[in-house]
Amino acid sequence: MPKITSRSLIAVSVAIVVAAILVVVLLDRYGRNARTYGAVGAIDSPQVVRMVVESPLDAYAFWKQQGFKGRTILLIADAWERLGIVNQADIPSARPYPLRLYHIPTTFEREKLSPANFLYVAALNGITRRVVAILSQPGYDDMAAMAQRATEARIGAGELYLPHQGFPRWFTTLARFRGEKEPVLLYVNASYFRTVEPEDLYRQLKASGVATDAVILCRGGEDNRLTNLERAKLERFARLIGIPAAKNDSPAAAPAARPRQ
Amino acid sequence: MSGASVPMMTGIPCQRFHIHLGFITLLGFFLRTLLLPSQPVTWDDYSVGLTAINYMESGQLGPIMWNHPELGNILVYSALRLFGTGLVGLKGMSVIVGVLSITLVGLVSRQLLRNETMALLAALLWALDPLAIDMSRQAVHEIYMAFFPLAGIYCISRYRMGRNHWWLLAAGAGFGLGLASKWSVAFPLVVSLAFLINDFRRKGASGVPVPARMLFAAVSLMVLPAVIYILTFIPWFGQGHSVGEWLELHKDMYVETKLHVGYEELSRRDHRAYEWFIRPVSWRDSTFNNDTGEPMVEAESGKYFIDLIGVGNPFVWFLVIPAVLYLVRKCVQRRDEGLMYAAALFLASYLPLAFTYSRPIFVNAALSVMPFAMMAVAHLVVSTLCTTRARKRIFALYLALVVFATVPLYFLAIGKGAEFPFLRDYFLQN
Repeated sequence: MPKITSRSLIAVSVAIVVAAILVVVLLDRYGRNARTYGAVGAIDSPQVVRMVVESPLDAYAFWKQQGFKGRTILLIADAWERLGIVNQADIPSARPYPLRLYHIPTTFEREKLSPANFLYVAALNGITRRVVAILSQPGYDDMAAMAQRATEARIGAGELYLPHQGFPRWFTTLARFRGEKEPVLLYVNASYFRTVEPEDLYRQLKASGVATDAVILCRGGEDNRLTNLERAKLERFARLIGIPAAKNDSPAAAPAARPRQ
Repeated sequence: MSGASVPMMTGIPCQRFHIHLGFITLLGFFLRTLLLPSQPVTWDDYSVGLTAINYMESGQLGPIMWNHPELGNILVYSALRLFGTGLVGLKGMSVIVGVLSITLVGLVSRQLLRNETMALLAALLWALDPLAIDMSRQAVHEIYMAFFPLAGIYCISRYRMGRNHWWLLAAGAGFGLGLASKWSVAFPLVVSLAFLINDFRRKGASGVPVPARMLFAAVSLMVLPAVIYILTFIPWFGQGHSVGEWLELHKDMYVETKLHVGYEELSRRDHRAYEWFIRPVSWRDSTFNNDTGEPMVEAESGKYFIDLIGVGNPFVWFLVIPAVLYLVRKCVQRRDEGLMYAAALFLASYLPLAFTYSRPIFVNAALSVMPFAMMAVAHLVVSTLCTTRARKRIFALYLALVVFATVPLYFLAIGKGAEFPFLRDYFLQN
């Protein structure tokens, strides 16, 4: 063994510390570079993809087709859709060797994707890494009441953090929303206009300075809780951000997303 | 512990010690694999497989144990890729780690207690321990929290013997892998670092100045484990997360770990660590399994339920507290660093669990404490019973009792309890 000197010990120690710093920096970069974006702008910018879709499934299909990865989804809806036990991974009662294990994200996408769980499946499949939900006041109050019973919830003034298995989910109201640091995938459900006027939403979003590369307005076609009035307001909001009236876009129209440098 | 030249109290030659330890390890291997192919895959076992795939292929946490670090997922996934989704792929890592932990208990005990008989007895007790056997036969990652700290402690002991700095780096790697398995490994890590620093201060410089040694030890045992720990999150970072979000995730993991209450009624489960070693407690995995794939007959539904029950051997379990008190007394009397280290490892691993009230502590967590408990018990038994010929007979009787008690507990641990008349009665009553 070569003779150990004070200098060599210090050199190795410094090398390990430098390597540690490097690892942290590189992992941070690796994570950030894994996110994919399209052309970014304000919600009414011409370069931003904006479309009205019929169902949340269309939104999912669009995000998937565009190759979005690791994104923040800004959800705007009347209330948060809670998921039932059916959204747990299936464990078969017969488990002989060799086990028939499966990949949860692709299995969910293939067999369980629904308008109720499309955000969950988007999270499983890596489209989104965090969700920020702007809810109506009643929708937010409902979540806040539920969060009182959840051990992992953090409740602030008009803002609620309620993760699911380490997946970050923030809930707030339009009045409390202060924007996002990074470009979001904006998803607006017609249900939000049950209590809010489109002009108010437009004004507040513009004021928050939120940036995006894809705005999806969902008519929620199969949701019989929605009324024509809410859908009409959604169309009004669509016009405010520059989408022609009653235009339902094809998800294939937009250019694919790319990693952001 | 004062170096390689310290005479061993029993004088068993090194080679014979290793041969004996090898036999004990083989016995442990036998007990951890006997009838394992026919042991049903539990709900947890299957979920571990799913979780490993989910993590490694998609960077997602869960569906189970999302609040624990990720090394287990990496190891299980690697085994699944190498050996397929059969027994070896799913449980191979647990078996290997469980078996090697027996060797490590022997080697570490030898370093700390400086007595081969004690070391071999500690290894034997660990090889026969029903809880260790139970967890080594399951895909869950519990057994790792026994193995990796022992690996780190062994490397530190070797370093203290010969001052070869590679051992210190190896110790850092061992503790890093341990932390990446379960956070509880931080307790033996802190104790080890404290002992090392005290060692430097007490013995002074031998060639290299003390501050340089301390710096190197701190970096090896703090920075290196942290690097290994964060590297196990690479698949998670691949989901687009930043380091800031990683810190946020750890807040969530901590909250869940601190407040986790399990998924069963608490009144049906032993869940207070301060009760350990005072009364019998058990770890129970009840699972529903129908591997035939045939339609299930409701009237026979009982046959689809399997219980894996880990209960500490009473002849070891109830000796732990007296043994630790005896160990503490001896290390104070003799000012023996090895004994002090062993006692501190037990206390630092056990007391935080014993004084936890914010959440239930289930018996599976005892795996982080039991290796050190085995050392204390072995120390007590050998110190008091291996002195005269008459006492050695009592020692032999004690060993016979341990083995005798192990037999039914073993069958409980491997899910065959209901097949034995005496144990079947126990099931019917419970």
